[in-house]
Amino acid sequence: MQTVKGQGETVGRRAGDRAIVVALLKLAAAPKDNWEEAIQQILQIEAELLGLERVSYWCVRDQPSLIHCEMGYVAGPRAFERGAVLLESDHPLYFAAISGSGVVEVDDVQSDPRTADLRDYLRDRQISSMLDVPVWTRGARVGVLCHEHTGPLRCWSDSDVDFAIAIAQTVAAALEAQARGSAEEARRRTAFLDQSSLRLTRARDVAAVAQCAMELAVPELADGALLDVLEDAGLVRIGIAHRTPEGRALLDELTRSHPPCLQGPHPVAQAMRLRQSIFIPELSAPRPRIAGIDAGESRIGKQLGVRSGMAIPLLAGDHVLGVMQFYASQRQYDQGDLRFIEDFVERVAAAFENARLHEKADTAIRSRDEFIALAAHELHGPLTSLQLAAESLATSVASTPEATSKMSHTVVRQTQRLNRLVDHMLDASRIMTKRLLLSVAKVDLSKLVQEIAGSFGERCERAGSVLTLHIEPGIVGQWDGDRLAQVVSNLLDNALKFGRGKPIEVALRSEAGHAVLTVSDGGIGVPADRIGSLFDPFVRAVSPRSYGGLGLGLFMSKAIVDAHGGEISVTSRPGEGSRFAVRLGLGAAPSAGDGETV
Amino acid sequence: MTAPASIVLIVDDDVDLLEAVSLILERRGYRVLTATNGEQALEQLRDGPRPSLILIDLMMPGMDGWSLRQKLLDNPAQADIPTVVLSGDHAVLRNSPPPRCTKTLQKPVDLATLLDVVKQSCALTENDLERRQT
Repeated sequence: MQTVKGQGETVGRRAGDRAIVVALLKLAAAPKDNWEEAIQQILQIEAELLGLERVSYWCVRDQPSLIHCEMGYVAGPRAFERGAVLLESDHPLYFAAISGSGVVEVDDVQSDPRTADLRDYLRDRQISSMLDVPVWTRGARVGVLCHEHTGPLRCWSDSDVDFAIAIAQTVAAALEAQARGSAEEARRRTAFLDQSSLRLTRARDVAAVAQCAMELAVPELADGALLDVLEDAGLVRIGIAHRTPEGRALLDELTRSHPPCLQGPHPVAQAMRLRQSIFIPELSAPRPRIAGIDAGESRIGKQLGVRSGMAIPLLAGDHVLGVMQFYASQRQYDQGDLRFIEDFVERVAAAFENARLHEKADTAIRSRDEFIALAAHELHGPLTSLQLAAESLATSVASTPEATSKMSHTVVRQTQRLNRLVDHMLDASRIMTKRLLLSVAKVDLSKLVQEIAGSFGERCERAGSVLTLHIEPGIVGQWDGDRLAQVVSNLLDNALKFGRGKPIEVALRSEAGHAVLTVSDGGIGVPADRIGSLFDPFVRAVSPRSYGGLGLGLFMSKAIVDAHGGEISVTSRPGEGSRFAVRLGLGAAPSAGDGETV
Repeated sequence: MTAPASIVLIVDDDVDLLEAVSLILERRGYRVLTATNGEQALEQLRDGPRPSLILIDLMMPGMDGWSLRQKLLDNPAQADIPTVVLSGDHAVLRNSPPPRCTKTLQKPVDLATLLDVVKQSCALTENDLERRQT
């Protein structure tokens, strides 16, 4: 067997010295801030200088004990390779050799016992001789620099070994530079998060938070980002951003064709359900299809050049506010990126929660102010009549018996009006804070409606509205009579108030196990865009400049009908009138009832 | 008070209030016309006698107090009729009263103030009439 003695020496002293100087100059110029480029350059220089087929850097890992090829240079094809893994459990002899502190020189891998359990690896690569040098940083063995020779056996010279050790130290320096780079990166990320918090907390409402989050996310964290929030109707996309206008257009298209959805296996739905991040480091083809992402979405992803992505839930306490998605086209996200982006999303969620609370408080204050103004207006009406009538009586302005009687009636009527108003306010505040309790008994609804309608006779006359009743007699059920009387009064009140003096019709009939009450007017009607919120508290379909009232009548009526397990609805045409319908079950007592039952 | 009686037009959607104020003013010798919104008030003015004073509420269904005041100002024959606003919404009365009103009164109003304002406003009109006639 022929042995070639130290090729480094055969190159010749002079030429070798020059080559080494050139190599060191190149190494000195190796990029410090980019580990990958630095190690590639180091490996390539070393392979060329020592005349080796393959030089690779392997990092050492524990649990399980293994070495992992981070980067290797292969001289033949002038290519880089990475990713090979050798487990200690498969190669105990080899691991025992490299776990020592020294250099492992193997002139003949076939006969050397240290490489006896490495045969397959060596045969596949036609390796004849190898030289392994440990790489140390901060007193720990972090990796191995492997020199693999093919062809005739090579007897490693002292200068080969010295040079390899020097290169191992260069690798260590590059590793430390990378660690310093990581520390630098960590500082930069912390600064970004601080800056994000600052900007996000300045956003006063949900829309502003969304805009700010998207501006921060792209391009700093992602090439494209999407933000979905949970609203009453489901997930709604409130943020779309991409580095390029074309990408933005594609994301708009994606949002149209694939609106966010809470159901199914899509990463967004999963992130919502599981309340945890869904991380897909490698999205680009060829790979198995990802659950929940159909062909259409895949196509857009391909057009966007998406390589890596994640869907991260916005959590506030124990509820989910929404999901933010991040896509990278130019790189692949790693675990560090995931943690960093999760930290960012945490700040976005906190800002959202704040903005929501802020908006809620603002709305509550506005509603309260409006309510107080309306309540004052409503109370001032009867108070004015009351004060004038009472003073007239006191100062005998009303001197005739007829005038005195009229004034006294005014006093009584206004007192009743005031009482009703105060009751309404208290009632509404009770209903809004807790559940309505019913006092259920046998009620003759026909009689009740007749009575209430009768009590409106005088007011109808004053308003000029003719009141017509179509009441089927004997409709009896288990209800809260006082509460239903309130509903009938409220509906008649509205019909009079908005009825423009046109006729009003009240009808009651039984229909398939239900009592159906309708109150129809020929008044101003309800604009289509207000119908949906007509039964909300403090809502009125008209400007408060035109119509007073607390805006509570329909809200209370709905609460009462709901508590009975019934339904209240409205059909209306602006300018032609409105028709309110109440359906109540004629069967068993409503479940909400807790009062006595006859 | 000598004949003919001063005429007061009251515009308010609260019929109870219309009734109470009418009764009081009529007992004091005024002739009272009523309307429950702006449109009705304009009809009264078109078809009926010219009042010495118009007393208007602000929040009314149909034509509200602001629109009514604007319509009155737009018509030279009605622009100079003294107009007093009587409203229960004090903030609105303070912040956005209708233009060029003789006076604004807050609800509830006491009897003496009401009678005072009515008397003064009617006197204004009477003086004005006398000046024009001489």
